[in-house]
Amino acid sequence: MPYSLMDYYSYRRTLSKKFIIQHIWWLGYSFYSGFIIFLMYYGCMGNYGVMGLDGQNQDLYSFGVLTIMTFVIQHHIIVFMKVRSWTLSYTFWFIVACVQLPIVFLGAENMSRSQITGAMTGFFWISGYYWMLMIVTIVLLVLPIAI
Amino acid sequence: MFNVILWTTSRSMIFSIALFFYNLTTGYSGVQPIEHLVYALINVNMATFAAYFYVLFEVEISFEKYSKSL
Repeated sequence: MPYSLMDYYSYRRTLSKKFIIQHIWWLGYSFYSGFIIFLMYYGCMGNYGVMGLDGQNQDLYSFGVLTIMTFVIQHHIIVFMKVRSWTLSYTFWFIVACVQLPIVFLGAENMSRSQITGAMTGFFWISGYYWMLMIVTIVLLVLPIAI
Repeated sequence: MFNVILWTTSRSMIFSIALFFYNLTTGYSGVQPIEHLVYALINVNMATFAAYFYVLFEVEISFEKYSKSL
């Protein structure tokens, strides 16, 4: 055999412990991320938030748009940080995966009976407030993994 | 594969927890502040492709180094 049985058992024991610890860590991280997303967006876009006071919160759908964009971008950043075997083909498919987000939002925007018709290119993607808010939130979410 | 399970579970939880707190605070019980097409496609193509191709391309053991010993 190309490996010793003793090493294999030891590896399995270590992996089992790692599995449980990582599950608990990711559970806590999910609660942290979900709460931070809610806190940032509701805090800024609520009645007394920075954007709410300026009248720029654009109804309740802005919360949904920003939440989805944030956690999808966060997911891609996590995958980007964790991948070890970068190859040319994986790079290509990773870019294809990243492009899905704007494609879906543009599709939703151009549907005639959509709730966000004209909203993405109308104000979400051209507003500095939304990008700034999203960048700060994503940094807060990715920071525990980067550290 | 182990990582992908953790990421996928975590991703779904993050989304649900954010919506849970939003509904709890605003009192809009059951309201989805999300466009239906976007909501339907989250787990179809928006946040699954990267993990899917990670499963396909990531290798734990180098085949160039160990393929002869198998």
